[in-house]
Order: sequence, then C-alpha cells, then structure tokens
Amino acid sequence: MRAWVILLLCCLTACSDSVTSQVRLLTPRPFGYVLGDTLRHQVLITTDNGVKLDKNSLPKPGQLNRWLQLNALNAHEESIGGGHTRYRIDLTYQVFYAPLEVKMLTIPAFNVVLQQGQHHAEQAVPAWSFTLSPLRELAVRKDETGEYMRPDALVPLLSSDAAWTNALIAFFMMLLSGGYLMSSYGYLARFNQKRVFKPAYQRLLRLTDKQLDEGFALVHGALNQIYGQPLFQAQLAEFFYQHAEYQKLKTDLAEFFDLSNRYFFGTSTLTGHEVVTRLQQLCLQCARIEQGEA
Amino acid sequence: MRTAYKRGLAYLVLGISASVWGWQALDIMRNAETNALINDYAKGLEPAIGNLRQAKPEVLLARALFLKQHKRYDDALAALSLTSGFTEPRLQVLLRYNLGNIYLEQAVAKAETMSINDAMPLVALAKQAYRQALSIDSHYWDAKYNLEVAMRLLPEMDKINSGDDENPPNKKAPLWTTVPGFPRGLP
Repeated sequence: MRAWVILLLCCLTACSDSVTSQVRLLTPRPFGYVLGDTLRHQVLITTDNGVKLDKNSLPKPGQLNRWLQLNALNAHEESIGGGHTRYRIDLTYQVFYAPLEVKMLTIPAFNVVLQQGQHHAEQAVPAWSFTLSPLRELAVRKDETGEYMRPDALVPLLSSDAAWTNALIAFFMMLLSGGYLMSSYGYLARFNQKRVFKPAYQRLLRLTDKQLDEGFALVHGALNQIYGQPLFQAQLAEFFYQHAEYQKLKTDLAEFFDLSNRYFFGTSTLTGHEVVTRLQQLCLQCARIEQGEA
Repeated sequence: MRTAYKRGLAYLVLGISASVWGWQALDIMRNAETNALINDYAKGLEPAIGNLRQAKPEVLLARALFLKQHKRYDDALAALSLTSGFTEPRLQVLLRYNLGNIYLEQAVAKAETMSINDAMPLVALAKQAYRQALSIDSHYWDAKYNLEVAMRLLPEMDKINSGDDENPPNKKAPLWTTVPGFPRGLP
C-alpha cells in the first residue's frame, strides 16, 4: 500500500513537471519615477496548446501594499502557431511612496498557475526593482501662507463649441429642408424662373432686317422653352392655361403665329423691318411679363 | 407619389433639425449662465443660487473654491459633497484635488499651532483625496506634489521591502500606525 502511494506521488510530480512554459517579463526603464507614476508591465507566458492559465492565480487589482497599487490587469490568450499558445498579461501599477532621496523600490514577484487537465505547475514572475525620486527638496519650502503647496485647480469654463457646431449644422439642415418645401409648394417660383425672353430680346435688337429666319427662331425658341416642348398655334390654349400670365398677350401671340405661318409657308406683305420690329415688341412684352413687371 | 414622399422626408428632416437646433440653443444658453456663475465666484462675488443641489458640478466646484479662499472650510466641504453623484473623470480629478487641498490646508494650519491630534486625520483625508485624483489621472503633477507634502507631514511607517537599505522590523507593536512628522530639512 505504501509503495502505491509513493508511486502515485511520483506520477503526480512527473505530471506536474510536464506542463512546460516560458515566462518573459517586459518592463519599462527602471529609473526616473516619482510619486503617483504608473508602471506598465507585460508578462508573456508561452505554453503548449491545451495548457490553461489559472486566472485566479493572478494578482487582484487594488492595494498590494502600503505604497503599491495594481490599477489594472488584463490577460489575453492568443495562438502563435507551432502548437503553442501565448498568454499576454498587462499589469498597470501605481506607486504612492514619497522618498526623501532617490530610493530603490521593488515590485514583488508572484506565481501564476498553469493547468493541463488534472495537472498543474507554477511559474514565477520575477520581482522588478526601480528607483523613485522625490518631487520636493528636503528643506521645507515656505511661502506667505505657510508650507508651500500647489494651489487649487481653477474650474474650467464650459465650452459651447460642440453645441455651436451642432446648432449650425441643424440650422443648415432646416434651411435646406425648408427651402425644398417652399420650392415644392411654389413659394419660390418667382426666384426659380429662368430669364428666357430678355436674352432673346437682346439678340433680336442686334438682328438686321434680312435676318428674319433667326428672328422667328429666337421667339419660337423662347416660347418653346417656356412651354417645355415645341409650341404650335393649335396648342396656344393649353399654353395660356399653364402660363396664365401670358394670357394678356393672347392676340399678339396669335398674330405672331399667323405671321410666322405666312412668312414660312405663304406670302408676307410686311417688310423685313416691320417684321423685326413686331418680333422685338412681342419679345419685349413677354420679357416684361417674365420679370413680373407687366 | 414621389413628390409626396420627398415632402414627407423634408418635413421629417425639418422637424428633427429644428429639435436639434432648439436643444443646442438651450445648451448654449445654459452654458453661458453656468460660465457667468463661475466667473462671479472667480471674481470673489457670491452669486445667489436657488437650489445648490441642482447646480452644475462646475458651479459647485467654483463655489467650494470661493468658500475655501474665505476660510469657510465646512461650507466648502458641503458644496463638494453635492458633487458626489457626478462621474465625469475630468471633474472627479478636480474635485478630489481641491478636496485634498481643503484638508491639507487645514492640517498645515493645525500643525503650525502644534494641534497634532487634529492635524493627523486631516492629513490622512488629504492623502486619500490626492491618491484618488492620481488614480484617475496619474499625470496630474499638482496632485503629486501636494500628496508628497502630505506624506512628508505624516510619513507612512510601514516596512518597505526594498532590499538591504531597510531597517530590521520592529518586533514591538507600534502604538500608532502613522506618526506625525514635520521635517524642517537641513540646516
């Protein structure tokens, strides 16, 4: 019976040793720290796949001793190929020790437990020493109020920059959507109106008495543009229905189409000068209506 | 149908943007009011505030600062106690640091008059407040400096395991876990 117990203990020891791993402690510079500084350590534990880190064996965030505080601990597991797993443990310590002169302190070592099935092994993360410097001179510094200390923190004024930006964006969006709605309901029609007859009239003024083709083409083109499609005499009623403002030129426009028909398809009794003058007068009247003057 | 859809969308955008605009305009006005109060305190005035519990934390901090400057420490602590519900880290750091200053200033005054028993708990409270500030912002140099002032005033006497430079542990149980010390430095 005793022999079996000894054999069992040997097996357990062998199994415990079979959990292989490698520990690396990555540390920052070991000097140049002062009270309240944080120190970041990284522990890299490389093990075989299937070996698990017992997170209960890691130090717990909080006060570790009188002067050392563990602010954060994060453990991550990652596969690095080759049948190995790496555990990365990030530790953030904070030092609260006020030395009178440069002093060496040591962050204590700790053991982590690795498990594989029923077997386990402990791996030591070594201690790490660093030096800490004082912030004040040894002699007490005095000012008019007594022992010198840093003054109170002034309260910062509230910034409204973000609110202004948001308000401007919102105002721009209001303008856009409101403008679209006004346009959609026709309140901006006057501003949207294109000037068609005014440029046509200006070009008519530059025509000679012999350029009647161009003259008729200009007036027809302007009317077509207003109507949105080629406008013929038979469609005048529809044109006046859509553009009631031109209704007052009903007779003039009818005469224009008659004149155009006679010029292109019949015989016109009017001279070139008279035709151009009539075209100019009609175009001028249309331009005035277009501008809302008439 | 398409026009109706576009108009609906435009009404939706108009409604949302009008709401956002109104909310932001209100925010700007509130900030301006708060800044006016902070400026009043900074100028040494004490503006009338109806309900301090509804005041913004910045106003309470400014008020506490004003009260401390007038040596009204209890009122200053009462003002700061109203900010305990605010969790913004930037304000928490300022709150803890100024709280530490209130305690430390009183402790130094007590120590100057040799009222050691009164000074000790105040220093301990100051140290706790500075440590809390530094836990949130470890780069806050003023808090580091004042914590060192407090720790020189009331050194912590626990054994530091830093190698051979430490004295052997004292077997006798100390009467005080901390003792006041007022290092006056080298001659």
